Amino acid sequence: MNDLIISGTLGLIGLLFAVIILLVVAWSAAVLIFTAIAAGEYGTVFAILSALLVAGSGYLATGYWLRKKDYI
Amino acid sequence: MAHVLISPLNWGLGHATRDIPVIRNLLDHNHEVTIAGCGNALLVLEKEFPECHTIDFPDYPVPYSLGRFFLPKFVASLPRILRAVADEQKNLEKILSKNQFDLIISDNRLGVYSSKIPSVFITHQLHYHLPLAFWPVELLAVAMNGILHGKYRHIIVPDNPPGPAALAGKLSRPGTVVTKERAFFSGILTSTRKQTVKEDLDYLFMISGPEPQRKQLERILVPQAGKVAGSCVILLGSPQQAGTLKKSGTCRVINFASTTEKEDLMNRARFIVCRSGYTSMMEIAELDKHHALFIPTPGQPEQEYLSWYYERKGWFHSQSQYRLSLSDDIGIAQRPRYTGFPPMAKTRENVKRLYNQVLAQYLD
Repeated sequence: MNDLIISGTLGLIGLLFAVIILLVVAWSAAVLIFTAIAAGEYGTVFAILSALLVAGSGYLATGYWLRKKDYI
Repeated sequence: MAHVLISPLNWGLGHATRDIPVIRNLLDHNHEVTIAGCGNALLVLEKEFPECHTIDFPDYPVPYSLGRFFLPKFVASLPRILRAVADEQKNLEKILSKNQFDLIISDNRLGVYSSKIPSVFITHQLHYHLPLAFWPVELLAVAMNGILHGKYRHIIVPDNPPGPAALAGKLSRPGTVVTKERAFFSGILTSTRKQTVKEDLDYLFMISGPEPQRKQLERILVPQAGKVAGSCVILLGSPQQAGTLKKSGTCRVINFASTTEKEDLMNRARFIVCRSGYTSMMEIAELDKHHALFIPTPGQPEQEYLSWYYERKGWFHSQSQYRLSLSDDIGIAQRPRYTGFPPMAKTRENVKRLYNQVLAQYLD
C-alpha cells in the first residue's frame, strides 16, 4: 500500500480520535458541572466554565492566527 | 510524436472542460492523446475529440450533500474515496502495462500518477477553506496535499500566481515547500471562447451544479427571474429534459444547452447569474464579463469562500439562495463598487505558455 493511502488513513484515524477526545472532555465537564451544582459548589462550576472558555478561546485564537499568517 | 494519457475527474464537467484547451494544444503539436475517464466527463471529451483513443476509467463517488452540510458528508465519504484511490492505482497499472505513455496528466484524480512516467497534476485547490472551528482539519489537508503533490513533477494551477489577481484567492496558494516547488500557475483554462457578438441579452441565469441543490435553486430563482425587466434566458442544466422549452414571465427557459449554445448565450449576456463554481469563474474571466451575481451552493465551502472573496475584493456581488431577492441583488451587483475581475491573460495564451514551459520538456 502506498504512503498516500497510509497517510490518508492515519489522518482519518487522527480525526476520529480527536472527535472521541472532544466528546469525552465535553461529557466529563458536564458531569463535573452537574455534580458541583448538586453539591452547591458554585466556585467549582465557575472554575470549570472559565477553563472551558479559556480553552475554547485559545483554540479559536490559534485558528485565527494561522489564518491571519496565511498558514491556512 | 509523444503519447499522453489525460485523466479528468468526473465530479461535474469542470475538470473535463478545462482540459479541452490542453488536449487541443497537444493535438496541434501532433501528439497522440488517450483520454481515461468516466461518466459525463468522458462523454464530453469523446464528443469533442473523436480522434482520441478513450478508456473507461472509473473514479470516486461524489459526496454531494442532500442538505446544507457538505462537510460532514465529505468527511464520512473519505474512507470510500481512499479505497477508490487505491483501486484507481491498480487500474492505472493495468492501463500502463498495455500502453506506452510519455506523460500522464491527472486532473484532480489522486491516484493517477506513476513513478516511471512523468506525471503532472491539474488543480486549482492547493488549499482548502473550512469554517474557523475546523482549522486543524484544514492544516491536516494542507499537509496531505503536500504528500500528494510530491508524487508529481508539476502541479498545474489554472489561476494567476498568488497575489492581487488570483481568481481562487487562498485556494490556489501553495501551503507546503513541496507544493511551492512544483506549482506552475498557468492562468485560466477554459473551453469557452470569446466571440465578437453583440451583447443583446440583458440577463442569463445559469442554474447548474449537483442535485438536489440545482433543483432547489431552480425553485427559488425561476419565479423571481420571470419578473425581471429586460430580455432574459434561464439555463436549467437539466439534461434529462433536453430540448424542451418553456416561458416564465418574460424569460425563455431552456432545460439543457449544448456547450456551443451555452458559449453563445454567455457571450451575448450583459449580466450573468450563476453558482460561484471555479469553472464558471474562469469562463466569466475569459469573456471579460464585468456584471454578475453569484449564488454559492449551500454547504460547499469552496463556492462559499469564492463568493466571500469576490465580495471582499469588490469584484462581484454574491447572495445566499436562502436570502435571495433577485431584483434587489441585481441592483446591488450593478453598483460601480463591483469592478469585475482584473485584466488577465486568456486561455489561448496560457495554454501555449503551459506547453512551452512545462509539457514540452517531456514530449519533444
